[in-house]
Amino acid sequence: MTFNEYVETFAGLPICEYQQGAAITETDVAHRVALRGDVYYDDDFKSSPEEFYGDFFAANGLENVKTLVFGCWNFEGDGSVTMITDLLVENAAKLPNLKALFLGDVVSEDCEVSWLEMGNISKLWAAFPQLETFWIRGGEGLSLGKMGLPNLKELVVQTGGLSKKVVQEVLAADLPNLEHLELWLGDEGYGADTSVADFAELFNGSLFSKLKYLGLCNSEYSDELAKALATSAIIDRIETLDLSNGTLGDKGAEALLTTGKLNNLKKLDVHHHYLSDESMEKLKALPCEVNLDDQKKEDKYGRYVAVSE
Amino acid sequence: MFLIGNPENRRVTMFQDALIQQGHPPATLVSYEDLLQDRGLLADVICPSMTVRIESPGENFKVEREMLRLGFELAESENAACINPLALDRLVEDYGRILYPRQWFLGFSQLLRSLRDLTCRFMNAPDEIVCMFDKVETHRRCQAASIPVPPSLGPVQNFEELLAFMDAADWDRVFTKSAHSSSASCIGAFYRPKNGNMRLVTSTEMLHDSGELKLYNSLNIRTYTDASDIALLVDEWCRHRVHVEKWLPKAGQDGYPCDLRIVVIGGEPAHAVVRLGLRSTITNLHLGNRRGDFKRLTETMGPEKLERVYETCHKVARLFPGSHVIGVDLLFMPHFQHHYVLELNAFGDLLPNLDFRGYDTYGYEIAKWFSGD
Repeated sequence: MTFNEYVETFAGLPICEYQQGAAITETDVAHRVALRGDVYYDDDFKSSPEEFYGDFFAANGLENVKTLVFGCWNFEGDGSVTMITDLLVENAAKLPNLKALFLGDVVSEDCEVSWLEMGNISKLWAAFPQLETFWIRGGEGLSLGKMGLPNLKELVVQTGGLSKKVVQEVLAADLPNLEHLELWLGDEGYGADTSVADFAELFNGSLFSKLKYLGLCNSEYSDELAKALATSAIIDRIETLDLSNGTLGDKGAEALLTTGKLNNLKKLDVHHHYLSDESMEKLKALPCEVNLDDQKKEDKYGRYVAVSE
Repeated sequence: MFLIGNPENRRVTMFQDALIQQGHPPATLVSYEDLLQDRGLLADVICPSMTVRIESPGENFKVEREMLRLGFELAESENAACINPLALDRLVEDYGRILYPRQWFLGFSQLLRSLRDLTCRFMNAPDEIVCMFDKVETHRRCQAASIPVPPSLGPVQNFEELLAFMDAADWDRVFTKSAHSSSASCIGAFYRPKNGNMRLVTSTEMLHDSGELKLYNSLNIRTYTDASDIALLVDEWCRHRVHVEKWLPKAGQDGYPCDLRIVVIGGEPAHAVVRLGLRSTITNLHLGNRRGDFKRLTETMGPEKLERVYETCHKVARLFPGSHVIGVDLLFMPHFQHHYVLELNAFGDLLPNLDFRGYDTYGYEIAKWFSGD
């Protein structure tokens, strides 16, 4: 499994494909600037990702852009996300109204998530202090640097292998208004080197006082996360717990079922899991909404996260 | 008809069944065991009008051992990693163990060459089988014939050389393949980022046994992330000859990377099977992967691109005119814009439950052979 479809909405707004050369007039749409794989790989395509994305920043009407989605920046190992972040930073003055940004709405036919070249994107924070929503896809070589955004409500980092370094950067970030935190932890074979211990500060409730949604997705140790969360301070605060696309099994479910601390929880999302039918029935009986879609069966080689390569 | 093979193997039984089904007498079996003991065995009984089918010698320990014995002298003279006859005598069957692929290949090619001069009708010409068992040679020949193949770095001597070649070519991803193995044996997908840790995805398992490094084919695909492990494994593979190609992104079906095996029979692209890499980029079916949907693949590709694939298959057939059966493995770039030939399989017809015009692979081979094509 991997990312197969482009998003249809972002930050609550419908996607509108940016047409090269056109002026930008719509404000209440999510403008998507994306070099698609079928275009790039076509024999008629003589341009380059640099040229394609550079072209967007020359468009008229950039001041109308509130929400922006970028597609793929490297297809055959020919560039990194910093090409896009550099362009953004250089042209920040032209985008005074940008509030929501997604770097990497990329499907596997464009580029596999573990093939996406990332980099240090910290220049974005000073250039766009007004950001409220930030999503990024890709973990290879990613660094957020010293992150501080006073108005950020939503942070999503989707990877097939998230490094400890980035987790530390997130937990050290100055995000006083953060309500939605979602990290895709990934597979050890693809750069994931984190463990439950890395989230201690988050779980003890000392960070992100406004947090409502916590997603620790695509994890090889979903059971351990569930056990730690079941007795944590943070579980009293959040309304949605998302352990989807990972390896949650009966042991993790047991911890959640016996904790008695789920009273504040409105939704539990564990789709793509390794729960038994019995555990699924027990979880359905919880007072909160539960997503139990996509039950997987473990084979002799163990459990697999949804997105790695 | 004569059939050279391992009598207990299902390839042989399935082929015999197919002969009988079409009203032919079963072939006279010549076991590899007997043939390796007496390479002149066939010369006495063969005549020009007879068909000889050479089947895979795999999945038989005794045969593997004798093939290694046959290849020893050449391997030694090449300074390849080798195992001597005394050590061979002491060898005990160890399921999944990868034993000296280069030496094995030298033995197998010697055996095939000894058959070459027989005056008979070979279903698959011995020389062409030898070529297909050498990925370096296959790549060279295909490239020379303008058959699309992935860019290659050629054979490398060791891990350090691999890194140097990758630097020089500015590639950070390669597929390393043992020049002489099949079925995903000794295949690695290697990634070495500019900033970050390298990793190697493979089904090869390493075992240290009393100071000896042993390699095994496992049914499980694993990722090595420790640099010294990776170096050790690649160095070991290189001792038996390795062919390196650029690791290209693959088009997919249902979100899984895929490739396509087409069995070219009598020069005609016949049976086709899509293979999905469920957990990694390595698609061989016995590694927990599964078949995809060929019809849907052709619909996604469109008739023009499919036609180009068939053209490539015809080119391959013309390059190997003495091979009645060739299993052609193809990779597609994302969105199916371009395809490449990954590998040619001389024994690539063991594909049960696959139909083409009402025949399985063996049935169609027989039908075409006897219809005078």
